[in-house]
Amino acid sequence: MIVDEMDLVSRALEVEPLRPQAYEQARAKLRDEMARSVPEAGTVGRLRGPRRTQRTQRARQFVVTGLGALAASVAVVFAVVSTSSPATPGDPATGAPVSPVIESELVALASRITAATAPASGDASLVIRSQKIGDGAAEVSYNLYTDDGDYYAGGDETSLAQAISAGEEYSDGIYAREVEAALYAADGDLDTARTKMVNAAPNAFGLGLSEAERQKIWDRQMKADAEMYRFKGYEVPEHPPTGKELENLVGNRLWINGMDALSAGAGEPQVRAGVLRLLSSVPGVSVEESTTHGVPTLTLSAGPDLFSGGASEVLTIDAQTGTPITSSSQSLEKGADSSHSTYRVSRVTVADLTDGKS
Amino acid sequence: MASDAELIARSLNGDDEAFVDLVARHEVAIGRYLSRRVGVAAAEDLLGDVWVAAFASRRTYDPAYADARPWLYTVALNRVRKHWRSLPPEDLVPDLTDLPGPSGYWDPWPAVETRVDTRAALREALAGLRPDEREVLTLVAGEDLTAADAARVLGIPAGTARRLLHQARATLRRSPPVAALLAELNSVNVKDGE
Repeated sequence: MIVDEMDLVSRALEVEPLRPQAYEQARAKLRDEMARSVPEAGTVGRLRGPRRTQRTQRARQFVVTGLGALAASVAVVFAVVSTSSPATPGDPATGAPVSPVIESELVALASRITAATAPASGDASLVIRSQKIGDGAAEVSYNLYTDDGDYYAGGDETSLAQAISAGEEYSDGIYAREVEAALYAADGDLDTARTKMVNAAPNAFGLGLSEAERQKIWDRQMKADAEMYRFKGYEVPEHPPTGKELENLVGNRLWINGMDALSAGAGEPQVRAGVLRLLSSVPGVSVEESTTHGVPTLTLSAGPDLFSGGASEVLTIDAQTGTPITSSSQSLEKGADSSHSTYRVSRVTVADLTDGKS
Repeated sequence: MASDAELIARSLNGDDEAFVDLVARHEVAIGRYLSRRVGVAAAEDLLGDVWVAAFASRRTYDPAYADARPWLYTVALNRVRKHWRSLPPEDLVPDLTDLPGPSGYWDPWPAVETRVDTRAALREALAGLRPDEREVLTLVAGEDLTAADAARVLGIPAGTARRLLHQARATLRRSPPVAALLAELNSVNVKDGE
């Protein structure tokens, strides 16, 4: 028998079937979806789509990482200064996370952005991301976030336009809620804004609820996730996180969801202002003045505490507008590759994209 | 036996179990596909998402096609892409260019004296392909689809898929390590009288 290149690839791609339980679980998920409506955000920790995967892969601590980027040169360090006690989110009895009062460059920048009221053109933000992991080749993705909260993606303009035309929209409504939370945060009550942003993506923290309600939500989530925990070798936690653990988790979600909002609302100054204000309330985030390709920038760093000690992330934004420029992510595991991403953000019109005018 | 299109039509008329029957028909194939693309653990997480997404979008199914598997691959591919977008960079599972490792299922041609590192050779060659070429190649070589079905999965003209497949195969054959590997494999086969 003569072997050709197709045989090589076919053999190379051989894999075993999934475990029988995996099929059962998947079918159960389908039946579950058939039987119920989508839960209200922030009340039940049933995550859908990639967020479920993303936000559970780090398993027990529910810590997730976000964007990747290019660390910029650093000039002056602005310490994020808390003038009150450290952030201790989640006063379950009152429903109001207790956040610190913080003065920082972020707050000043947020104020400057808020004052700049130039109307955004178009009806969507196009974020072209070029990501390089380790020594690998750069991967480019075209990500479109519409002002209506929809999200489409492609490898280039053509495939992006095809995705839009085919209605391949997978936001699950999350981006819209994150942008809404950021808009609120631009000038709203900070504690309320923090809760809104954390709850923009479903979670089982039960922020703002009573202990009994939190436990009920937690139990429901753990029941759904128990098999996955066991499969991955973790004990199923009996109670929702509290204290420092919850504080770090809330900080993690503010970072992650805030990064989402920066992309989803990249063309909207108020969204960027809100995100910056939110990040100013996270003790694990530091801010440094920097320069990127001659442009004054701010470098936001999220330390390992926000990622259960497993990673750190850096985001560089335009010092004047807050627009994302680069990001980086570094796993702290020995030998792990870092990733660097650069962003080009522009406001576009969806119709122009589908008509090939953009 | 009802066709896939008929099961989808029944589900649109309120018979949810018809859609579960459809899922049961294709779950092994779609599960393997996910496993190839994102690894076993993530595949188990994503499989249910694929069914949920397919169920949600079943109204878009073209009943002219009796076999729904290419459509399900399309849904799965979309979920895979979404999964990759959502991953923190250090967790990204490389695409086809990262072949199953030695502890996995890569054990081809043990009789071959490996003067050529088979995994490295193929990985290097695959890395030289364009992403759209790799997509078509994956679907045809890995999922045993025709080029026309691969085109349906990717939403591209069948002629384009055939062209991409042709280009991909030609690129692989031109790759010196792959050429050397094929020469060695076929030499062994000839010696063994296969």
